Amino acid sequence: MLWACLHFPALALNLVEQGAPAAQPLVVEITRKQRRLVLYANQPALQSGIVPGMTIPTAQSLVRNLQCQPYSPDGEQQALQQLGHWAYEFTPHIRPHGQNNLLLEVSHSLKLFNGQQALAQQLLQQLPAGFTPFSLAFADTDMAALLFAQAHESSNQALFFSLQDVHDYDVQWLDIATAQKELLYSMGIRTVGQLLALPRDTLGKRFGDAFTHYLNLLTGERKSPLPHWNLPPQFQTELDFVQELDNAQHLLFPIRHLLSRLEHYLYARQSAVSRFLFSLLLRSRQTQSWPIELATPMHRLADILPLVQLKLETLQLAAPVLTLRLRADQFHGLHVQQRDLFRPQQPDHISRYQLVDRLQTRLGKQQVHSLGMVSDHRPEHCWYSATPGQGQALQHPSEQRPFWLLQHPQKLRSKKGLPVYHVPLQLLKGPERIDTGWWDNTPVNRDYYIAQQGNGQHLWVYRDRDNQDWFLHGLFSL
Amino acid sequence: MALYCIFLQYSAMLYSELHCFTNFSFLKGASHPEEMVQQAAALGYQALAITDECSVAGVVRAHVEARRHNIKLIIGTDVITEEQLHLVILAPTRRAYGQLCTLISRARNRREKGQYQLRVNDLHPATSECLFIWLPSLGQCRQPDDHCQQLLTHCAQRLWIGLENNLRQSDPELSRQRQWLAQQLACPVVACGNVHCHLPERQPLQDVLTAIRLNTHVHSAGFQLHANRETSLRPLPVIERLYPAAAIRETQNIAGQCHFSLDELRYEYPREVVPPGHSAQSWLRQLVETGIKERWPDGVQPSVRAQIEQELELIHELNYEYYFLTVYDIVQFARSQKILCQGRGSAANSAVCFCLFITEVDPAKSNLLFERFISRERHEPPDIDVDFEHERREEVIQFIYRKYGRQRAALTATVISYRIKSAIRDVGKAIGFDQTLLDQLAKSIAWWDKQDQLPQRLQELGIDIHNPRIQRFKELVDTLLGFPRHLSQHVGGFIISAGPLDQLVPIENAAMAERTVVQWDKDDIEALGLMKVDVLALGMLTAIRKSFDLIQQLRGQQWTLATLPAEDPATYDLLQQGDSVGVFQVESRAQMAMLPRLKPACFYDLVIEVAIVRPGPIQGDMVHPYLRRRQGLETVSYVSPDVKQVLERTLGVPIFQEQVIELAMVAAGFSAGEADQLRRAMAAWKRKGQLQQYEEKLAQGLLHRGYSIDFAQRIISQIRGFGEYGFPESHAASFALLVYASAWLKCHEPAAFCCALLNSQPMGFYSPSQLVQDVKRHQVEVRPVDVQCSLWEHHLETDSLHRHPTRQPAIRLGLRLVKNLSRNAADTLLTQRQDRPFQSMADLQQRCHLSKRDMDALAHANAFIALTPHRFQARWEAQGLQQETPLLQQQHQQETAVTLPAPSEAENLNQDYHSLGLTLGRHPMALLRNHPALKGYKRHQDLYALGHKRFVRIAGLVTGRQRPGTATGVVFITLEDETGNSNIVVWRDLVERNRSAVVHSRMLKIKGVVEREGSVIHVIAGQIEDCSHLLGELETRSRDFH
Repeated sequence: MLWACLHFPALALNLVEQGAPAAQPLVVEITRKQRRLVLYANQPALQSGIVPGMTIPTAQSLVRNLQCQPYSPDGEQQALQQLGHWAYEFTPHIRPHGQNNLLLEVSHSLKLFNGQQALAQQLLQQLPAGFTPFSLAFADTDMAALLFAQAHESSNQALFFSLQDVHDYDVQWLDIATAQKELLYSMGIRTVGQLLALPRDTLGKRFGDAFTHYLNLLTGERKSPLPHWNLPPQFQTELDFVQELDNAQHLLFPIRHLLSRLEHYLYARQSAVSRFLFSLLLRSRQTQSWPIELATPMHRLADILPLVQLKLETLQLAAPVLTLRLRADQFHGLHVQQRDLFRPQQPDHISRYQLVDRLQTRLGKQQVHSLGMVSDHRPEHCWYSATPGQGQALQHPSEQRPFWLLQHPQKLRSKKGLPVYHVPLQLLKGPERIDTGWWDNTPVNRDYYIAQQGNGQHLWVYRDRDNQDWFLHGLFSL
Repeated sequence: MALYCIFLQYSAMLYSELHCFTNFSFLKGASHPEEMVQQAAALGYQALAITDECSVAGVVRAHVEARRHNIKLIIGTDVITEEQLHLVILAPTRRAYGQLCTLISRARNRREKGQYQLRVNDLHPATSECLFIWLPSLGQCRQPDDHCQQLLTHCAQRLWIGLENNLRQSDPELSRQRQWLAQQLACPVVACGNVHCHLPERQPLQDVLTAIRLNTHVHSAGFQLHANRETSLRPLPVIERLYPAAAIRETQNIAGQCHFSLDELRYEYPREVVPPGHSAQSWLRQLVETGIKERWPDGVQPSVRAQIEQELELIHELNYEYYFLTVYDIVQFARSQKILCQGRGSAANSAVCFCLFITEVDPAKSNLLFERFISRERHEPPDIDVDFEHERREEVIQFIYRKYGRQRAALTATVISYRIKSAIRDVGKAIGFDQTLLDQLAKSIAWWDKQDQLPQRLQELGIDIHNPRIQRFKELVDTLLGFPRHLSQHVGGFIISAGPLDQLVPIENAAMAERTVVQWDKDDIEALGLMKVDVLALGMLTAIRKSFDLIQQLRGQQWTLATLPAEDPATYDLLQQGDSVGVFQVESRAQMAMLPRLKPACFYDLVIEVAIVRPGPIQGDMVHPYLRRRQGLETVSYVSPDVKQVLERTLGVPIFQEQVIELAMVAAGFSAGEADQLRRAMAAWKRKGQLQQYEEKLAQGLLHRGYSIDFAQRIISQIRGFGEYGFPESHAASFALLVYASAWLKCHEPAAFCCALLNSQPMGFYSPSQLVQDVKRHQVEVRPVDVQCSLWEHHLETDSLHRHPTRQPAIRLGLRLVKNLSRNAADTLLTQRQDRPFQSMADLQQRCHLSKRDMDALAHANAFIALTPHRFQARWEAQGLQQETPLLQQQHQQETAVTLPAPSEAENLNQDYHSLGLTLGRHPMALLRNHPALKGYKRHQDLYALGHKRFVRIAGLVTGRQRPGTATGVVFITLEDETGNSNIVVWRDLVERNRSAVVHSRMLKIKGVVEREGSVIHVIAGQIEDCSHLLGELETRSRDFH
């Protein structure tokens, strides 16, 4: 067997940097014992004297506008999955290990790639951008490859080792619990050679069977099982942004990242895709969906990206975006692509989505929307226009609200202190005082009344308490 | 229009607000109780009911305020029962008030801290005298359920239905339904304001509080917020417009029925402190006479006798016998259990307290006068705090609970209030500032109350003060400051009563299990003239008592605080040299630097020393004048004989709080009552503006009596400085006694004293490592932890050599120092060792059956040194030992023998620090001394050979970093090396340039200049370099595994 280990010492940071605009000081933080600590720091941050393990307040005292992103173990696993899709091109025997290692058994691929050196060159050349630093180590056992890769982290090159080399390494590079490393130190056992020289049974007694099992795997006295890579039936990936994005055009860079991940997946699957869905997680905690339909199935980033870029120009952001997700679950085999082009779509029965679709086609996309409610006492802030079908419903504390709320309140004349709308109005109910919203730039201070017109029409009017002017704000249904 | 309003204002309409939340309904009410009362009075309300959520925590403040404004205060509470009945319960009479307190206690006791649970059944018959206002929901109006029925049965004739009108859309309909229900039930309706703040302008803060409570942002809280500002106290014309006249009239009916005032609360002292057949007076007299015989077996000096008589007379006149007897009772218990204690406070340092063994400050030896502490005119309750050994205070607390029962004894509350840091954090979160901005803002805390500097500081942090968002933020934070956040338990303030305490004040659960607190804090209790005793914990008392015990074993002599030789010159010598590591109160670096300048030579010097190095007096520009005068550099003069009489004992410089009070009286003409208010204002000066009114009065008084403006300003700035930190002489005297005792012990029995300090950890300023280094420098031998010799505690080992009375024994470190070793394991080991010593690790393991973890802990600490060649081998073997059961003993199989190499000195050092927190081997700096990077660097010891202003290079471990609030931007760093601790001063510029090194280096190299004044040496840093990597090399590898 020949194992290659790809080790990404700053994987969590890589992921964050893919969502960050430019080279600003940036750290990934973790909370331990209620203290916020720096887990990883990018180059600009390191240059300012920030080191991993430092508390966030200390780091912030060194760099004024430090960006801090919380650590996400799930993100790392997801990234290892994406990298697995990519590596599928080289071997089907792939196993993610821990939070930031990918183990590849490549003995069967040597022939195809013309030997160890050439294979290594290929791997290095094709490694997706944005995953440095890394190390790539080759050895006869998976655990040895892992040890070498970790010991030479950030070497950014391919290294080849014999099993005998492990003897010279410090025990800190063993893939065992920290407590066990400390125990080894506490006995003065510093190198792997020193450790392996001790009778295995005495070690088992002290460190447990799992420990000796691991040593056996390391030395090749036992063989690791050969893993097989399974592609998930659906593709899903996401990117968190360090700073929320409020301009749709800024999404292009992250979109490119996600589509490149999709490309690896499609390649491993030997498939193409004709529709996929971006979801934008907004600051307002809502999700904006942005489905993309391609006229024809595609599988290359270079083909897909320009089309998405075109569509991006018309994308309206409902609120600043925190996270971008990409999901695809319908794939076409590469070989059936042609046929689809010539077959007309089967007519289905009409769903409400299709209805919306047709309305949108007929009236224009901007003309069709749903109403959603927002928890806010101010009537004009109490609703929003949502993607059809996505509006949120809430219980409003007031029972009487007009069916039709004017887009802009209409100023009314007044006569003897009463509002006039064609004719002087009669105030039926009120006042209901709404005097709130100081936290943004549109506070209101109004007394609302339900008023009646001569013809029996009920109107919703208010008097602005700051300037005593009357306004019409809504109409009740008859 | 204006005329119309005035007309209404003086119309016949009378109104009382019966439903009002203050900020003691935490995160709900948005105004202080005092503000509510002021505003209600200003608006011409007849009465105001404070009805916080299942609480009366804010009523005393309201009561004190109401006295000033001539408005009636009604005590009540707002509760929602389990059955969703929303009730306002009011206390019309003293009995009803007792019922209310009991009810709140019961509801609070059912749930953990901060919550309550009440059922409608609890109301009957427990609240037979209370009045109820019911605020039924729409559903309850339309379809009253069984619970509503129960409520009606329980509270018939005492029940009203409340009408609310806050101009919400739902209000008219709800009111209609409530009126309908009231008609059905034949209940009167009454107007309620649902008041949450005293002014409409407070609504934004109320919104913020709501958002904090719901853990959300104001812009997301939406319908949870109030729709408008109508939940404030509203002017009478508005009320009149919004409510039916009958409902308004009914508020007067209810207010008319409420007669209870907190002034009626009369505290009754616990009676059991006086035995049958005695009056309090005769019993106190008898105890004092017995004490006199014990204290002065050879007869008492006539002057002291006269003082005692005078004090007893005063105590009797003010009716304070029970108070002294209660404290005596607690102290007596402590003495019977051999728990060392010492009283302090206004009444503690009296001859009577000396006779009762409450204090050890001998009136014959000090010049303190009892009358200075208790004043006839001021009528303040006596105040005695008693400190106990910190490890044994719990026994005293349990005694109090046992003796008086949980029904009659409880801890007073401490109101935890918003401070700048928490206010910035909570407001920031509520208005949606992101974490980065909040962290930036948090850095501005130090300048927050300096209005002139804040904008610039914020600007430096990249924050624009003129941004309206920041402006609003600042206003909200400023208003929130001082708002109560929750009730916590006071560290030791006990309130003990004659009858059930919960009829006096509600009792609720504290966060700590088995602890209950009353809903009032010590100011509330003082304002009502109730009595409390402070039972406090003090580490130094533990250390002193343990020292006495060790010396008793060693020399057969039993010292007590009172019998230690007084005014011992050797002890003062030690203090004058600043050799005070471990000594009470004067061991901090600031005190250490002060001692050689102040050169204390008698007990009263220590009293001053204790009070003098504090943030307050420094701000008040006082230390230096006193020092200069003491050193004869400045002449002592007095502006008048009156002032001389007050200030003579401190060379004309006011140092104690008592002196400021006296000055206010003799020099500014304050009455006793005013002086007392000044004292309170000083104690609580954070509540803004309170001090200011006295400042003006003080200035006028002083000028009027012919003092200069200059003098008046000086006094006022000194008072301002006192504010937070001013130290009363009565406390300083008690502390000075402990300073003297601990210094005496350090001087004459350094081994016993250090051993006792180590056995009393954690306490004090220094770590065990620093204490051990210090005692070794005093030629005391310290021996390592060893399973064959160590006990759990550290102890003294005496070889024949040490028996000599002036020879110091060795300290044997105890097993308690070993990290991760359990107490049980140590006990087993000690028991087994009594039979015979251990032969080997296996022998020890077989006899003691210690867990692997315990064995490893001992091996890590190198405690097997007598049984194995070295700690590496010991840990290998400890890990290999098997937990054997008797049955398996025979099967023990021999394993291959392994010999591991011995650890290096550096490796031993690391493990020593790791396991014990100290090493008896060489100091890390000694190991690094020959490192090329340290060539030319001096040791601490070498500094003494250098003259003032000489250039020096010095390196050491960073053991202390301080940025005192009083010294702007300067950082003080303590560097430790193998010969001692050096003090490094880093000026602000250098701090800015080397922030990273200053903030988080473990080892530093300094190039700087020696600053000497007598034996006080500082190094002013000119260049600073982080060399922590040298320590890393020493540790041979990084231990930072991620």
